[in-house]
Amino acid sequence: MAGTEAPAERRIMQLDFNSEKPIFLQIAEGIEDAILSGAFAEGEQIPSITEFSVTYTINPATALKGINLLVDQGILFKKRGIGMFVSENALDTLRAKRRQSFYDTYITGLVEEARRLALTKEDVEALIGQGFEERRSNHGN
Amino acid sequence: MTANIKKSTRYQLSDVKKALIIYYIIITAIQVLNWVISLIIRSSTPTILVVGNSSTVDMTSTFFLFVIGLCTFKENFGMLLQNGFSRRSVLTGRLLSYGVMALVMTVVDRVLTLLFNLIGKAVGGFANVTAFELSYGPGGFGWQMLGLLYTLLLYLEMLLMGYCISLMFYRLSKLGKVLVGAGVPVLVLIVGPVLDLNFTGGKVYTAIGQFFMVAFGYADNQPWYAVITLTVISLLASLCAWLMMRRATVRK
Amino acid sequence: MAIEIKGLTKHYGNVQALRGIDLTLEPGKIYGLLGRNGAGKTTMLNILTGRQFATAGTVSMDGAPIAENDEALRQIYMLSEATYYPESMKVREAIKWSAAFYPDFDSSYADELTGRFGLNVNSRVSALSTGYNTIFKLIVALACGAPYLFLDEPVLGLDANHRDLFYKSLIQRYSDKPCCVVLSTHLVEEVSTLVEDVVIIHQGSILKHQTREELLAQGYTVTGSAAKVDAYAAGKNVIGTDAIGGLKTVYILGQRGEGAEGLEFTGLDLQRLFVQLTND
Repeated sequence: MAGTEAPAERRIMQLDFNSEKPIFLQIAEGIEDAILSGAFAEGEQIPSITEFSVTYTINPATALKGINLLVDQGILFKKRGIGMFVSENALDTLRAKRRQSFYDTYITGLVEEARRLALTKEDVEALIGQGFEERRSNHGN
Repeated sequence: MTANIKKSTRYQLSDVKKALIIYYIIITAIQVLNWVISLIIRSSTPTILVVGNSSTVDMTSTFFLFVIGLCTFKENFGMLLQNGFSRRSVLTGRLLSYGVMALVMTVVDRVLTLLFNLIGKAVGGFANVTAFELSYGPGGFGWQMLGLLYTLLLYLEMLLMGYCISLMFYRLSKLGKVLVGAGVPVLVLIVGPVLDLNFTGGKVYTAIGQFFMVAFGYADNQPWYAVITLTVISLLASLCAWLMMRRATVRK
Repeated sequence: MAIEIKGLTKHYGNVQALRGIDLTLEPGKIYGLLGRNGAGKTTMLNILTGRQFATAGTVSMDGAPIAENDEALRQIYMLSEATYYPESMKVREAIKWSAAFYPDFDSSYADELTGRFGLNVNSRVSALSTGYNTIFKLIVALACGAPYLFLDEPVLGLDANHRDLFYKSLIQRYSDKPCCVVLSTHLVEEVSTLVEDVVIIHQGSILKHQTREELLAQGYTVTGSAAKVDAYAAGKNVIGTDAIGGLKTVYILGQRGEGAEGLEFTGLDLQRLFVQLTND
């Protein structure tokens, strides 16, 4: 029995088990994030189901469910007997998908919180501008 | 024989191996010490003839095996049930391991007795006799073979008696333990004889004594009676062990 | 292929430890057997492995009764709080015997695990600390190769590092060689991500048996001012409430409806659901 543990540096994503979001979704989103950030490059192999489940101490069936979600969307593909790979067009697919959900994921909540805090539309726009500025100066780009 | 019974037997044999080795080292050491001391006494007072009739090896083994029987239930039972054995495999393995033990010890004790006798004679004045010969007298080859069978069955019976007693105490509740532990000796050794003496003039105990004299062949100097009696006791003890083990639960 | 439990009942005198348990344990699944202390978890597992006897009911593996069935019993390794290894036996010997008993025992894997956990194999089993006693039994369980592992309070006395190492090793073993694992514990939070099915046992009866996700999808929590929460919760299946000052949280079983102004909705986590379901 090969008892090799997944090395710590493989822990490229954060899962929040207290979040009400199902863990398999968190796995899927974590992998998406890793692809978007370039940690998993297109065409590259990603860790195995066992590595994911051992690293995050989750049931392998849960990890499989999360990964299958991405396989179904064509973001990952399976090479029989070898493992899981990132599809060649994964970045484009993901960006398109994430743009679509951007409004639901971020804007709705943003507006709601802004209203609670009595921030006007202009205030929020200014803050967004500030955010872009800061990131530009921090990352030099 | 299923694999599990084989494993159970092997485990339960290995469990007593160490005790057996230590036992024989002690037996031999005592025997040697006996010779040495006797030789020293004789050399200092040469006029006294010491006839050191050291107790027989097999008599000692009989007691030893009773104690072994008492000590071999609880830990083995827990260990084997922890490791996926049925109660039937535990008991079958136990009986087989007892059989092997009794056989090996019968042979070893016989060899030791002959050896001790030989050396004892050379050293002078020592005689080692088997318990069988003490009870039924000496005899030729056939008689000696019968003696081996008798010893084997005696050993087996002692092991099984010890085992049954420990199993019984394991099954009994706290109160039951006290009642049996104190009650049986009091009843058999005090109350019984007193009642018997006062009401029946001691006839019952005399009859029991006579029964044992016959059953073990002392009355007619018939070792075959003892062989049959020991076989019956061993079978009954095995049956009792099974009845008690069948519903035994694992406890700490 | 499964262990089937039907109508399992156990009385101790007047005490009803188990009241008619029906449960099927399928191979290759990790179960969380959750229950408060004294709920009947250990009694049930002890009966499954033939250590105790049921008052009524049947237990079978692949259709054959487990009791007194060497072949079936050999398919199970049960780790219990109590230690049944002989007092004087050394860890090394105990592992050697386990290897002799279990045909699929992986000795090199056992060596690897003793090294990783830092278990002293020259110590007597009875001289081990509580934590290392558990570790010793865990190592035998992980290495024995049995298709059914019943682990009763498997992290008793383990520190955080060893707990993590155990959970990871368990998943590794499970991935390499799928088996049925029953994690019996009252430490719900720790096993909540590991288990596929959740069995909640309460006062000798099975309260819930569902996949973890189904179970969690069954309810939600609502938080807000007490008046608003009470109004919302009226007529719903409330399984518990918490209140701090004017703020109130209710735990509701049922499908989450439309949101409501001023109320916060969240999902249930296993720990909270367990506590609410088993509160007397």
